[in-house]
Amino acid sequence: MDKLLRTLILLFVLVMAACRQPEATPTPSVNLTLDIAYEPAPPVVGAVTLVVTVLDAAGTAVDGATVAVRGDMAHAGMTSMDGQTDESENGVYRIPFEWTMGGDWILTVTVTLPDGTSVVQAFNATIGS
Amino acid sequence: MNAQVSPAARRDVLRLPLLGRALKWRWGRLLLQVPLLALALLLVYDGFTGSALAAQNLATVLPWVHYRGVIVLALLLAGNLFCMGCPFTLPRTLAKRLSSRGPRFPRLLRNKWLALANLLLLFFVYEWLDLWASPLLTAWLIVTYFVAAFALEALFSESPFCKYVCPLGTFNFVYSALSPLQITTRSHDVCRTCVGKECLNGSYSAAPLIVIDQIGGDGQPTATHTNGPRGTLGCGTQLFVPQIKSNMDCIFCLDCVRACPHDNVALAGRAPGAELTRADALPKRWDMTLLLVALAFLGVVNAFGMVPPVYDLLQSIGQPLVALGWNAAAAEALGLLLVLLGGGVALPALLTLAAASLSRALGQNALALRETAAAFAPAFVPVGLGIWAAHYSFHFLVGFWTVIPVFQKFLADHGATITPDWSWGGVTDMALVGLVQGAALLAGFAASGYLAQRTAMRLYRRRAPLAMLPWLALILLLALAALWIFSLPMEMRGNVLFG
Ligand code: SF4
Ligand code: SF4
Ligand SMILES: [Cu+2]
Repeated sequence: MDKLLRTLILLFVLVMAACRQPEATPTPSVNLTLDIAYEPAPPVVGAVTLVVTVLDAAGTAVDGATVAVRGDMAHAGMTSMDGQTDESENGVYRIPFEWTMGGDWILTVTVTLPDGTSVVQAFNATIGS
Repeated sequence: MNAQVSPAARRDVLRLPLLGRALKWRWGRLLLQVPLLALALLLVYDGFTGSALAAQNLATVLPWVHYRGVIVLALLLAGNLFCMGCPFTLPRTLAKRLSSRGPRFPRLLRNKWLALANLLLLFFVYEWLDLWASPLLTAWLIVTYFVAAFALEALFSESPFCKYVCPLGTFNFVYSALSPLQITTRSHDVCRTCVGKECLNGSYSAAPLIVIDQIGGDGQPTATHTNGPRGTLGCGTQLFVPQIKSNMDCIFCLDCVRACPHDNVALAGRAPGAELTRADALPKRWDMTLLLVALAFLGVVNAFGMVPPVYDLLQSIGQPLVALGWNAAAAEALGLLLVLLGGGVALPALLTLAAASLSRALGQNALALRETAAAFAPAFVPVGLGIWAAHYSFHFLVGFWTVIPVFQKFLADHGATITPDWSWGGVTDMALVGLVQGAALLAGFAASGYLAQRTAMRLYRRRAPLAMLPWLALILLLALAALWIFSLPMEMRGNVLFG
């Protein structure tokens, strides 16, 4: 019995260890550098502007892309928030957004270039109430 | 045999036309267990393979938003339905069949200390590892549950997991005191003449044999039944039906119902909280007393873990340690431990002792300190559930429909042509949520106050108004602390020392 029990437990742990969580950020096909800033800073609950800066590998500003932001709270069971823009100036995209609640947020920023390629990157933000 | 059926047993759920049949059916428990097992496996699978974001994974949304809300509702409307359908006990039943009779669970551990320690451990891990934010770790928690239940069942002859170990079960045991259903006998006379006591002993036997079970007035057997490999196990948590006075330790498995050859067990309706008004319903032990009181305090501590002041507190404990070269996770662990042990154990223990001594002095009664504390401990059950319900209803209401897009996403990730509709939310009217929370707190507080007053009347008679004051003060303190916390913004932050 002991042996059977141990084998079963071992098997279970092995099977579970074999499953892996996929990377949250897929490897980008293009090399872009994303940066995010908040207005007002530090971020507080309410209507805000997210300022996303997009640079290419050489460090030059990238315009003409579409930048979409999805905000999820770290806690399960909270509704997500979305924001998007395709207007920019010198690689700076200003996106109207709303923090509905104070706490830990995870922003998933998706930059889609005119040729359809996209880059996804996640940022953490702590919002004061 | 026309034994007198007790009045309580006239409101027997098991006698209802369809439901009764289903519940008493040999495989009746599987009707709940199999779907819940499938759900648990789905959660584990999504937790291990799905999105790392808690808001987008079934493994975090269902346990931390829906499970906790549903559990409180089930306890208030029916009884310990989660334990009844508990999926963790399914592989356990397998273990029971596999294992030869093991030793009994160590006597030293046959009390609620271990269960209380496990509750603290669960709350600690929940806060320290931010389980509410991690599908992967929540999945591991579920796996740990399965392994622990299976292993304990395989090793020991009784079912120690539910009674002495499981923190979820312990929560349900305490608050099923407020449930409207309870296991009881249909007739005490039948039990008195019952030879086999199968409700506890079980009617399972490897070799079938005939048992003459009941001797009638004329000395002739009036009921016979067969013990066989198809027989039923007796009560796994070792409750003896004719002696049951509360829902404590009852997992609603209904094994006793199936095992009783005289069809003498009822799942009867009763006044919710009836057992809390009875002096003899619970053992007068320190472990039980502290469990009832501490769980109410832990409700406050757990809610405190989500509001801004706790982050300041943890930082003021952690920051100096980090400055001393501690690693941030260790510093946070120590801070959390201090908050949990201080607010969830030391404080309730000291305040209970103080209140008991004070009411003994004021009531001028010779009752021992332990018995005084044990007499008033049940009064903390309603206010405790009120606090838990106020907290859980926040997540439950605000996140009620969020499971829909998460499930849609799960399907989409596995090949279905469906686009998750993330606009599904829940109650957005915070005034309404606040109203529900306030009502839960107030109801709990009022019921607790009533119980404390009733107990004081029983113990102290004329001196009751004075002697109950320390307990009323304690209950008021708990309710006010909870009210203060729920009036603050919920921030639900993770690693405060890294931020
Ligand atoms: S409940 Fe049934 S098995 Fe248990 S003592 Fe009574 S008659 Fe016997
Ligand atoms: S067998 Fe024990 S735990 Fe199960 S329903 Fe009966 S009394 Fe409750
Ligand atoms: Cu919470």
